[in-house]
Amino acid sequence: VAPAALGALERLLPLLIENRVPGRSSLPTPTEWRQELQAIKRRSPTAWQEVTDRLWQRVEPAALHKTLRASLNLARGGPRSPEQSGVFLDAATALDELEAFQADGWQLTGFDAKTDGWTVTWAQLADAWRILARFVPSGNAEAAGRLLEERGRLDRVMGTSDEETVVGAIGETLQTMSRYQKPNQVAGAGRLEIKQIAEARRRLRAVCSAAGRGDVVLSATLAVSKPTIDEVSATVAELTTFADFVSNELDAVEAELARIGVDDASERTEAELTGTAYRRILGAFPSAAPALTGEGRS
Amino acid sequence: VIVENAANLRAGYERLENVKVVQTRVQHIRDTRASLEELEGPIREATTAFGLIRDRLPIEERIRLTRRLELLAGIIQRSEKDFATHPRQVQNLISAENTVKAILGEIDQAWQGYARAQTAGYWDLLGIVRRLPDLAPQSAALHQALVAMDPPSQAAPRGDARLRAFDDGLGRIRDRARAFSALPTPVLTFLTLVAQEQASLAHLTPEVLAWLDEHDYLSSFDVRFAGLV
Repeated sequence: VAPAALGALERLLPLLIENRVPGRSSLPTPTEWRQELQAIKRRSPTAWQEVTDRLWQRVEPAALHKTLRASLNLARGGPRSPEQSGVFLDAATALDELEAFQADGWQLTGFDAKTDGWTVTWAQLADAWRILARFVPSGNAEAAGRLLEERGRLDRVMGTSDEETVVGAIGETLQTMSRYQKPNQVAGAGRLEIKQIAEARRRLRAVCSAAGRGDVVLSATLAVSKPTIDEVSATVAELTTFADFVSNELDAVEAELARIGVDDASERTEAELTGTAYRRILGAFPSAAPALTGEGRS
Repeated sequence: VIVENAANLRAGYERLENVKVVQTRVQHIRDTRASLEELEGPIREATTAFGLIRDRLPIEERIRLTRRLELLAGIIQRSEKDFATHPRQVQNLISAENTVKAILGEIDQAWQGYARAQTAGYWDLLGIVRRLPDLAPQSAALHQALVAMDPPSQAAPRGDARLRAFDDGLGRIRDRARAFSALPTPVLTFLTLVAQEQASLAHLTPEVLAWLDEHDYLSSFDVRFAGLV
């Protein structure tokens, strides 16, 4: 790996991965970000500058992964041969192997069979793995665990319904509660948007998928900035709170209905009894007032 | 889960609301029936009382009370009609209750007027004859019969028994009053005017004077100047 590219990679990866993971205490300020990126760009070949510019933009996990692969491949450097540039990494293979490497506890054994056609030396490869592995964030497991839990909650709450149906159900329920003047503490759920839930779901799906593929991919996936883990958690919490409220309220309503125990026939019976009472009373009149004329009804 | 529970909750709210509406309506119907049950007694009282005494009342009074009862029946008929759409008829029935109470008072008043008219003449007669010592036993008997009758403030009879008792009492009074039928009419007229302090010497005709003398009542009368206090 060319020293310039390795240097850029070494400085870039923490910015890409570590500093995009929410909850880290040592986030750089925007100014530090700019300064750091400028420094990387100044020290990097033109190709790396372009990569830096692209990575600086908000990217989806798949795009980030692709970009990482592209960035590693770019180190081959245009018309120059690998020998001339001193750098050649098959990035796709490299990332896949990196995951396998990590799964093996960073043991170098087992790479012999996979080096056919590679022009990198063991030392170069080992250096690259070492650099990449060094920047695998230690908080990945925790963050992924948290997101996996969030996904479990979200799946339980939403079931097989899509976002549009869920948002519609929330809106209708809040309207019904308002119509019947039911107090509630879940009005916040009414601000949830289809897009917001959809993004949270997509994010959680991506993390869950990446969690099975190793720390680097997971890091790259976790590094996506939007929606943040906190935003996803807030969305899931809002939905969970609403679902819990609905569930409890439903229990209370059913209990209330059971307590009231209304007999549908009671109204009819009462009305019949009352009608009889009217007729009985009016029947008392003819003996005293045989001709009930219209005068009395005016 | 959230969609299904929310749909169930909305349905539950609607059912609860419907149940509460039905409950309220049932309560309104019960309130109406309670009012009707409270009203039934006074109405039966009024119609029975009026039925019992109607034929004894002056025609004008009879028509007036008949119309009052028609008015009451009209209020109840309107309430019955409104009941289909407004199950709580308590207010209308309070109006009917007030009306029936007023009618009962009017029936009692009409009865009292009738009863007073039936006995007034006998009380007047008693006022005259009780001054005649030799008719004291008959006067006492008449007085006893009159006192035994219902006082004029008594309510109209609500049943046959009381009406019969009234008629029996009136019969006894008539029987006792017959003891005074032997009094000549001019004498009775004179004594009536004396009792009313309206008698003059002109009323003391020879026939009256002879009757008084015959029964030794001359010393029972004074002669005074008219207009002197």
